[in-house]
Amino acid sequence: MGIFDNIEDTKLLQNNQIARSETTLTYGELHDKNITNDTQNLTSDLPKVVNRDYNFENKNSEKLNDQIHVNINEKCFNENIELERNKADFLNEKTIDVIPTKNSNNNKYISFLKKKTGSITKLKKREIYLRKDNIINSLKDSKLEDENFYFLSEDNKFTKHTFNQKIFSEFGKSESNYGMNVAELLNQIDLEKDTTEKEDTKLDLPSENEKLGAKLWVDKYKPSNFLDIVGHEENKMHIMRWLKMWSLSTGGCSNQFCEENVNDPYRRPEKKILMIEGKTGIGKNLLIEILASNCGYNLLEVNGSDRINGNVKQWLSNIIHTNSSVLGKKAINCLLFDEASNDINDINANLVDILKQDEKLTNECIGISFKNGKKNDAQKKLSAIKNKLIKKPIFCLTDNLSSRKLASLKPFCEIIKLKQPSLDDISSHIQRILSIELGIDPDDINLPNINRFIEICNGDIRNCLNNLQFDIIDDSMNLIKSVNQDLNFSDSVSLFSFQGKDKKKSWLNIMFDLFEPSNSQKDLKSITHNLVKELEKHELSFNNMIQLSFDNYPNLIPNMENTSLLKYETDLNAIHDSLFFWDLMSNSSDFNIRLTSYNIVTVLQFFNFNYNIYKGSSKSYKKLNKNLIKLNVWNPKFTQVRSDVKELISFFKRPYKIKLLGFETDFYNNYTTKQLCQEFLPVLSSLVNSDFINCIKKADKRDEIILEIWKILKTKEINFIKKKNTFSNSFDIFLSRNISLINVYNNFENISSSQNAFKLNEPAIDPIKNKQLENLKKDTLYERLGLLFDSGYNSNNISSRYSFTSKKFEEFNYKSIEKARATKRKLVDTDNTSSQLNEPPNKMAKKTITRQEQNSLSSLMRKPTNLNGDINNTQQDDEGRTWIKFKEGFSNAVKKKVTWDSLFS
Amino acid sequence: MSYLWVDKYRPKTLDDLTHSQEITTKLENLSSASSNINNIPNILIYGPNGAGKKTRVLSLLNKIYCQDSNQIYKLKIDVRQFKVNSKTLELNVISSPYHIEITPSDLGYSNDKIVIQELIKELGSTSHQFTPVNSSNANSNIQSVKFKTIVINEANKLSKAAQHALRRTIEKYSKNIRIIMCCETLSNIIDPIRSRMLNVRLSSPDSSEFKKIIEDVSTKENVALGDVFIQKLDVLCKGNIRLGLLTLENMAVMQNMDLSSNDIRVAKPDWMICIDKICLLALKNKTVETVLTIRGIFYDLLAHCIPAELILQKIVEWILENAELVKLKQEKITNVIYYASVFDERMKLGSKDIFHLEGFITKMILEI
Repeated sequence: MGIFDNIEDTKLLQNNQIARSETTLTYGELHDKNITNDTQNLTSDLPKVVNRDYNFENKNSEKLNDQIHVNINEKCFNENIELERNKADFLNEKTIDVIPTKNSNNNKYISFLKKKTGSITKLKKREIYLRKDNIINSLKDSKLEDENFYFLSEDNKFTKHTFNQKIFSEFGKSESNYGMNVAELLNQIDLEKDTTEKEDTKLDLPSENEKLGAKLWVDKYKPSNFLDIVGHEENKMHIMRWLKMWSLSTGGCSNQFCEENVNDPYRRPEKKILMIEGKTGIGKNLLIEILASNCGYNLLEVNGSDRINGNVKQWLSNIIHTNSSVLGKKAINCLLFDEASNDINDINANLVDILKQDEKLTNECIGISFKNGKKNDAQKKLSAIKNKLIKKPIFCLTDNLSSRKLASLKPFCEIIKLKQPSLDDISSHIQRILSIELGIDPDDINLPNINRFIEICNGDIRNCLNNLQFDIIDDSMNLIKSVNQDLNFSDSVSLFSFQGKDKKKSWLNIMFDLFEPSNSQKDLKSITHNLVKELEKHELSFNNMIQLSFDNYPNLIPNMENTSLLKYETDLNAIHDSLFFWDLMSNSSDFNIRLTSYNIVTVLQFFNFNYNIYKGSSKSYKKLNKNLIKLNVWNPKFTQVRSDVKELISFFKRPYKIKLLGFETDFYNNYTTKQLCQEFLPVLSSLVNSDFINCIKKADKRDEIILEIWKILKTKEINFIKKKNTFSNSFDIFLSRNISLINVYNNFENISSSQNAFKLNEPAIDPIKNKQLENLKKDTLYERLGLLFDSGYNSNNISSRYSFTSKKFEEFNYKSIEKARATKRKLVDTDNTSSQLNEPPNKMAKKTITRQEQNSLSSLMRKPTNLNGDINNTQQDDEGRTWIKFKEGFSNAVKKKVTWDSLFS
Repeated sequence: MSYLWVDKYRPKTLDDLTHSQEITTKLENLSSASSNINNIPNILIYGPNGAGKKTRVLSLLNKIYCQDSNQIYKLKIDVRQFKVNSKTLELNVISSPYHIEITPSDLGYSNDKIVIQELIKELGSTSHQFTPVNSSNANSNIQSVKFKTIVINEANKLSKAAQHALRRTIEKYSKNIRIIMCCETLSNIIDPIRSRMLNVRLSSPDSSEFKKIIEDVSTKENVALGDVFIQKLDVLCKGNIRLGLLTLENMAVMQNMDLSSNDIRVAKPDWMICIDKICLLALKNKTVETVLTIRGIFYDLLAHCIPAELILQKIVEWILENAELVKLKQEKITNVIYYASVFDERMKLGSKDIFHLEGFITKMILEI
């Protein structure tokens, strides 16, 4: 086995190969172990190990083609981001072209060449596919053991051993005279492998499928590193940060993120579970896998498929509570709890138990360290408790956050909602895959069609890829041939017209036919006849087809801005009647097969509609097709909003009994769904969105109302979430549970936008009389609100009223600061005070808040948020800028700079 | 307890009730000590939204079980789980020691009978005995109450199967339970049920009663009121007290507790504004594009859980109210109503509301 240290060597060697007539190539990688063991013919083995160091801090310094060297050591094992798949592919394609030849002796000889030598013709990738097929066939002919020959394109999992991936081996009858002591190199490799993991190489064993190149695209194009993940930029950073916060407890060294939760003995994040919600197929699992391995964690997954014998709690705590290192290895475990909403093993309940216990212990720890300082026995006790704390990060994945099973777990979770990546992101991803897979210039791929396709899959990337692969690659051989015969990919229909056995066309393709305007110039009878024939095979797709037709039919009408409905009255009537018919048919419970075949009428009705519109006209095909493609805007948004609203409603209906500071709340809501969404929620939302300071002049009244609303929000766990923005060093404030959503119909201005401009210099109002509000100050929600500011300048904008509470609570904060200042004045001598007063008020305020926080800390035992750190951060900001970001419900929301000065002046 | 005015000023006893005095008297008679308390019939109370059905029911129970001592309002919410073919259904059950309150229609049309079959039967098969709270008093003629009450919300949404299940249950367990059903309309309730229950129709307060309620609350909250506002509120709410109070609070907050000005505009709930917008669009612009725009609004409304039937109904109401303003001919209005009924039927039969809403709006645009 040989290792090329640089390209020159490679060249040399390949020249040698050319000189020799009999060389063998394996496309991709060859499993060396098998070869050594099984192949008698083996004389030499020339693996080339390509590994690219992808430490993403250093990514600027990496050089793409030069780093062909072996780099196997433990450090890179944990830290490296693996060789990016596609670039590897690119590398592969660039440097090596393949010519397969068949030997009369039934031995396979494939010579491979560096492109740089220039002596061998270039072959396109699709041709490689063809050749590969030949080779495989010939392999079979040769009756050699199949296992000896692996044609791998990729490794199937992103395991840590990608560096074994690119191994070019060649073997033949001849002896080793390649100018290098192959045996020596072989030993070297073996040695190195021993130092890594033996099991890993076994895992690398390719399956039968892979060898044929018919690997699932889903696996094949699975992003293998951090930079490959499409979208989710902010979430990525968030998760990484959260993971980094665990580094003390997992045995690592501290880092800057550890300082956020200073009271925790291990500086762990406040919430011990990271719950990720997202639709199926957008890559929740993958994201965690990659990010965790990026941060050096080893994922232990629990999901529905596992059956845990015996004590679940014991099992869990074994993972969570024990110190690192398993079997002497330094892998750091973390728990991944998949499909949390469909929990079979009763993990939820056990996790909650563990977490509650942990919370108690953590508080004890803090208590001890506060009271006893450095006493010896206290230290002992402390370390004893510390041993029992959770030491491993826990992830939860779910697609249904509102599931009742998660209700008990949620308070312990930091929740991240993964949004679908944008259409553009997905389509460019798919475009890339297609171009690699089919060897086509990405520009040749018809983007609108891909977009269309993604919409059909509801943005589910996994589903998209699966469908694409089996629509296209099923007969990829045909495809490649036809590519040679000038298959034009920009032809809008071609993407969907690959020929299969049963279906001549996909249903979407038929849709295009249905709405083909040029049909109208032909004979109605014959076209209908053809359509009926084609449609019959697609009975199961009628639902999709009709939904799509319904979405689009008004768009077909030319000049729809000016065209009167009257012109198409009869057609529209017919459509609505047939839609009713279809609705009835699809809804009927007694499924009568004979009747359902009449469903075709509805589809044909749309065709008829189209026919009538374009009768006699000669509208260009392209324009219409464009029309048809841009559609379907409503549905995804519709379902999104609907699920959000449903969650909100169930939230309001759900029983909640919470003991709040100072007062007990047995809040319940006996409204029915109808009353909730028609009366209660719109008004509540309007109340929440109003600018109280501006509206009500009487302070006590205002306090009262705010308190009431605060109680509702609190009992229903509607919360203001403060998030540090990753990109600008500032905070974003969100009103979670998106209560605004309930009544913001995006076509409308909100109610009562008639408010006057917000006055910033409003004089301070009387001291707080309300005792309950005093209590509130100790509450997390309140503290968060304290850092929230009103953007208040343009009150015509809905968003300005958004942070009514924030402004209000800020005011209280301010007042309490004044109090603190007053008390301080007594203690410190007068000169000092006056100098302090001369300071800009913003600095004063900040200082006092910090002080206050520290005071209240001991009484609270457990600090609610990482407030201290936050304030310090804000202080570093020269002006203490705060960004107010609003939920998307407000499309015209603004980001506005607010300075401390303006708020406290 | 909730903290909005609408909950804060909810009457708690029969004596506090303000409007529809004759019904209150009837209820008082039923529950008064002079008659045998265990003779109380099952009650089917129906009437428009926000007229105070639930308030009355709870006041009545308060009287029966606790002699107006408000014990009945110590409520808790549980979640009951039902298993149907491996699927687990969950139902919120609001309960006090004396009664439970359920909304079986939350489970969906095909599953609501489970509640009747399991939950109600379970309660019915055990006997109950409640000694009134104040029985230690000299009033020796207060008997102990021997039944538990089940309040069924949205009874008109019960499926036929559930109603038939209920029918036998009522008779069989009449010893141990009483059932009080609340609904907006009787039309979906089958005859056997109606005949087994005491039907009580509760109408909305008329404008003078409505005015009184609003004025009461606003004096307690120190809100300055003008007649114009009350009038406008009455028009908007059509006697719906809940909506009236909610809007009052909302408006009061926005207008600095001063609602006395003459040119005040009452804020409607957003979805009602949407309906206005739809109608105006349909009248103004009869192009194909309008249909598309309106479709967008329909989708929005549906997504916010505004039922399609209600949208249809409100559109027709709008047309009827504003017919003179926009100078619609009588026959055209008749046609609109005709189409509304056609498409309403289609919606009930089918499941794709949006198809039929669009069908209706197209017809309507063509017609008017």
